[in-house]
Amino acid sequence: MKMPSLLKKPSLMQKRSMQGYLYILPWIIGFLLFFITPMIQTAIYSFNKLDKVTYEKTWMGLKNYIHAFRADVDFPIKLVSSLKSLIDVVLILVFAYFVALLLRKPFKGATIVKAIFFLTVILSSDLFMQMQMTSGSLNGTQMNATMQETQQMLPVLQTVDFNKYFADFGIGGNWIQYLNDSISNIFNIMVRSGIQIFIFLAALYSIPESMYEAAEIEGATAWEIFWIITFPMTGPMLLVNAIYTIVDSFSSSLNQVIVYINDISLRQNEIGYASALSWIYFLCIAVILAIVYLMVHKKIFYQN
Amino acid sequence: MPFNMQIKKIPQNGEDFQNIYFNPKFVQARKSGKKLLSKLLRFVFLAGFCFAILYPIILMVSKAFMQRMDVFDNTVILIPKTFTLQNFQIAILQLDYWKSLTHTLFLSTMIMVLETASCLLVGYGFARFNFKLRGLCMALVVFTIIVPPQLILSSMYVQFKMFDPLGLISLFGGKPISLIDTYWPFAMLASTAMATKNGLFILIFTQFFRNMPKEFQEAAFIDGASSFQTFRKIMLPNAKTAIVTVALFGFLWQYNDLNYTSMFLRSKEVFSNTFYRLSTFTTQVYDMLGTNQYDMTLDMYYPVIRSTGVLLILLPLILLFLVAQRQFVESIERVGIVG
Repeated sequence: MKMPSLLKKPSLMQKRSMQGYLYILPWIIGFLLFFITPMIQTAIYSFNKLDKVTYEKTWMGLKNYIHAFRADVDFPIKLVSSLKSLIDVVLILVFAYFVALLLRKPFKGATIVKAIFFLTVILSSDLFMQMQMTSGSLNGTQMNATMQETQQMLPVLQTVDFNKYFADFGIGGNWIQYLNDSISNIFNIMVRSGIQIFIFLAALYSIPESMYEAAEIEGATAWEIFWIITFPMTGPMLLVNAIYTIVDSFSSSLNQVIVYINDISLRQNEIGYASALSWIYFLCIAVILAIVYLMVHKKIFYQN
Repeated sequence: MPFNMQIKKIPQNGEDFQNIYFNPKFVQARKSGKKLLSKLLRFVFLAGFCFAILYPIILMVSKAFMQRMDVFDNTVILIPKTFTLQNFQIAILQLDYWKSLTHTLFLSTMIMVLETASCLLVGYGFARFNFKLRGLCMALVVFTIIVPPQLILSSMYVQFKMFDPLGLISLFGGKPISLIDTYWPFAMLASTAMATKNGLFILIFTQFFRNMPKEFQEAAFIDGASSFQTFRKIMLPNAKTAIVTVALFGFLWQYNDLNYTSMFLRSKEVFSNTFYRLSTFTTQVYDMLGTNQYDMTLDMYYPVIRSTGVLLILLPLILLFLVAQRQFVESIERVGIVG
C-alpha cells in the first residue's frame, strides 16, 4: 500500500505562492521586527514610567494619558493648533491643482518651470524647513525684510488694513483673519505642494484626448469641460493627494506636536510619557484620515 | 479690417447678430484672442510663482557673498559691494563641513542602495505573485505609511540601545550591544524596507510592475527561466524609470531626514546634527572676525552665517538636481501614479 506522501511535489500555483512569500520576505521581517514590535512596545511603555538610564518599567496605569490632558499645559494646545493646520491641506490641494492645470498644455519653457517647481520638493524637506525655523533665515528675517521692502515700494499697502476694511463691511473676523494668514503664508504653501503638483499632472496626462475632442464638438465651454471631464477623471488622485498631504503634514518633524514629543523623548528622556503622547496623536490622525476617506471616497468616480 | 467694422455695427435683430457672431473670421479672431489671453494669464501666474520660489534662494546667495558691513548697509541691494568668501569659511568651520558631508553622503547612498533593492523585491512580489495574505499585506504596507514615525521611534531607540535579537546574546552570557551612533540601525531598517517612506516606494514598484505586460513573464517561463531569472533578466532592465525615481527620492529624503537621524545618530557629524552649531560661534570664529561674543552688531550677522550654512548643505542636492533634473521631473510624471 502506498502512503500519501507528505512531501508531495507542490503544484505550480503553490510554488508561485511560495515564491511570492520569498520575494516579500524582507518586508515581512522588517514589519514584524521593526514595526509591529516597536508599536506594541510603545503601547506598553505608555502605561509605564521608564527609568532614564536602565529603561526599567514601573506600572503607572492610565496616569500618563490623564497627565497629558489634565496636567500638561502645552500638549492640548499644540494638538489643537496642529489639527487646525489641516485647513492648509485644502489650500495646498487647490494650489497644486491650479498649477497642474496651468502646466498641462505644452508651452515654451515648460521644462524650466517644472524644474523650478520640482525644486520645492528639495526646499520642503524637513531638514531645510527646520533650518529655517531654528535660524529664521528664510521665513522669519528674510521674508519680513522682503515684506518691508515691498511695503516701502507700495505705500498703498501700508495704509490699507484689510482686516479693518472687511470688518467695515461686516464680514466675519475669523475668516478674514484666516485668509490674511494664509496669504502671508503663501510661500510655505507653495513649497509644500511640490509633489502634489506632479501627481495631479500625471493624472491630467492620463485623461484621453478623445474625451476633450468629443466635448468640444458637442459645444461644451471650457468651464463645463473642466467640471464634466477633467475634475471627475482626476477624482481618485485627489483622494490620494489629500491623504498624502495630510500624512505628510502630520509626520513632518516641523509639526508642533512632533517637536514636542521629540523634545520629551530626546531631551527629557521621558520615554513612557512620550509614548503615551504619540499614541494619542496617532489615534487623532487615524480618525481624521478615516473621516476624510469616508467623506471623499463615496463621491469619487472610478473609471473601472 | 473688415470684421472690426462689422463689430462696431450693433446688430438689431437676432439674425443679424448670428451672422456676425458665427462669421468665420469673427470666430477665428475670438479664438485667437482667447488663446492669447489664456497664454498671458498662464505666463503671469507661472512667472509669479517661480519668482516667489526662487527669490529667497537668490537672497540667500547674495547675502552669502556679502561682507559683514554690507549686511547693515541699506544701500546694498542684492549685489554686495565687496565680494567675500569669509561667510563660507565661517560656515564650513562651524558645520565641520567636509566631515559632515562625507558622513551624510555615505549614509544616504548606503540607504538609497539598500532600500531600493529591498523595495524592488517586495514590490515585484506583490505585483506578480498570488498568495493568500497578499491583500492583508498590502493593507499593512499602507498602514506603515500612515503611522507617524514617532510612534515607533522611541521604543526602537531602546531596542537598538540594548540590541539583543531574540535574547541570543544574553543567552551566551554577553551583554546587549548599543547600536546607537552606528550605521547599523539604518542598514537594518533599509534592507528590510522599513526606512523613511519605504511604504510609498513599495507601492510605486507594485504599481509599476502590475502595468507590465504579462506575456513577458509567460514567454520567459515557457523558455524555462526560473522565477528569479525572469526577474533579473526581464523585469529589472524594464524597470529603469521606477528604479531611478525611487533611488533619487530615497537619497533626497534620507539626506534631509531628521526623525531617524536625530534618534540613532546623536553624536556623529551629520548635517542633521551639525546644523544646530551654526547658531553659536566658536572662539576661533570670533578671532577670525576680530570681535567677541558680546558684540551687539553680530546679532544681524548670525542669520547671514546660518543662511550660508543652509546653502552649503543644500549645495550637493542642488547639484544632483541639476544633473538629474530631467529624470526627476519625467520619472515622477511617468511613475507618478502612487495609487
